[in-house]
Amino acid sequence: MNLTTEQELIELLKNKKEKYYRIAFTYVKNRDDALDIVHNAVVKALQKIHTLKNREYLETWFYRILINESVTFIRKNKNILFFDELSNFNPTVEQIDEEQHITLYSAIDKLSPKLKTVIIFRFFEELKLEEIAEITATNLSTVKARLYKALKLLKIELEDVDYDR
Amino acid sequence: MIDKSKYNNIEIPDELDHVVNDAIFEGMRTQRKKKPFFVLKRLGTVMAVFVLFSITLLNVSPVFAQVAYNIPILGDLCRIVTIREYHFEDEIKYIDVKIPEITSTGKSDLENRLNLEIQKKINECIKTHEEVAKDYFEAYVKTGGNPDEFNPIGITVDYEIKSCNENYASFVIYCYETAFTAYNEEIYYNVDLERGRIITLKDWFGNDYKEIVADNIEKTIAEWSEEQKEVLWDDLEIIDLITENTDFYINDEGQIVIAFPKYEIAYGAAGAFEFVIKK
Repeated sequence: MNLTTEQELIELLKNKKEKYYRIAFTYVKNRDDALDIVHNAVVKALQKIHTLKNREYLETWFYRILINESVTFIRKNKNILFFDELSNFNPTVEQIDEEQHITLYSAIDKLSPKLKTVIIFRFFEELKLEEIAEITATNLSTVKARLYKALKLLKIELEDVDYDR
Repeated sequence: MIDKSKYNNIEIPDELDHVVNDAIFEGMRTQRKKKPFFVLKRLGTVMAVFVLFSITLLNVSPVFAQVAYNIPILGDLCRIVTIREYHFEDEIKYIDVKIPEITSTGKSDLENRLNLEIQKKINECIKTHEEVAKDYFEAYVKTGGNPDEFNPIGITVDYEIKSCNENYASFVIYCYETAFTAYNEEIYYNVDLERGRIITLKDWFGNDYKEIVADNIEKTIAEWSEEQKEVLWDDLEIIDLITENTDFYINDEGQIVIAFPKYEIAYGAAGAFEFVIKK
């Protein structure tokens, strides 16, 4: 079957919509907002599909739109100070104790969108760091730096995770 | 070890399917590439070529327009034509506008009034969107965005002919932008070409139009599944939403279709709703 890029995009959107919803949801933690974000990302993707030069990057390209929509949404709607933006963050003993029990999933809520993106795609979507660099339009060392920073903030021991893969 | 279960168990809402399909449709409709005239869809190729040719000429030649009016087929087919189409872009926006006009109805008063109103509405709409784009751009730069990397906001004005014959013309003008769907606007026009005036729901259904329309819609909703009904507002009273100003159009089969915009009867994510009123 010889699909046009646009048809390929539509197929992709229909087949993987649940995955895109999960990603959006992880950013905003609200069902209706996540639906709005998916909606806007899909509309934008179809409007801009003619600007995509290399079909190979179709999904990467869509991830980028989805993340942009999510991050823009958070900036516009929330007035939150993130964990890693507090320069003198100094957790108290109780907080540390509590953090040992929380899962990575709930912990990442405290991360800024940039750090959150790296965690979502590396650990939940299991993408390679190179792919994350592609999606976020940064280079590999930036992605690595963000990943280490995020993990440090989350105080998570990930010795058994090969995150350099 | 990483616990992914919470992530994988994020509940997928039932509306997701609908939301994605709706967005695909909206995205396709608002693509910047040239779209064919809506009128052409129903015609054979030969006819299509003729109509395309004629519409072009109608736009440029008053003489041809006069003559064409006397050709019954074209006269019957439709009297809504694009009078102006333009594109404009700068660093913060690109604007695509297609302005329709109703012509050769033999009711010049109505035509003048209507066409002026259409023009005014479109101008207002573009102005609002231009201001939104400007605010957005300024906010973007103020928060440290690089002006060169700003993704221009698209503003589109287009129209769609819903149905058109010698008795009436029904069409909708869309005015939308790519950044905030909340500002999108759809303006419906239903014109009685015989009497030379705007058709209202009251003209169509009589004095009891509110009850007739609301009953009809409630019957349709009653057939929906519980899941479908869940997106509707809890305190929804259809009858309160049916007024002289309720948006509607007339479809190909000559039926009234009530068009509720996003948020009118249900959660925003569920999109807009349309109900065919069966007489």
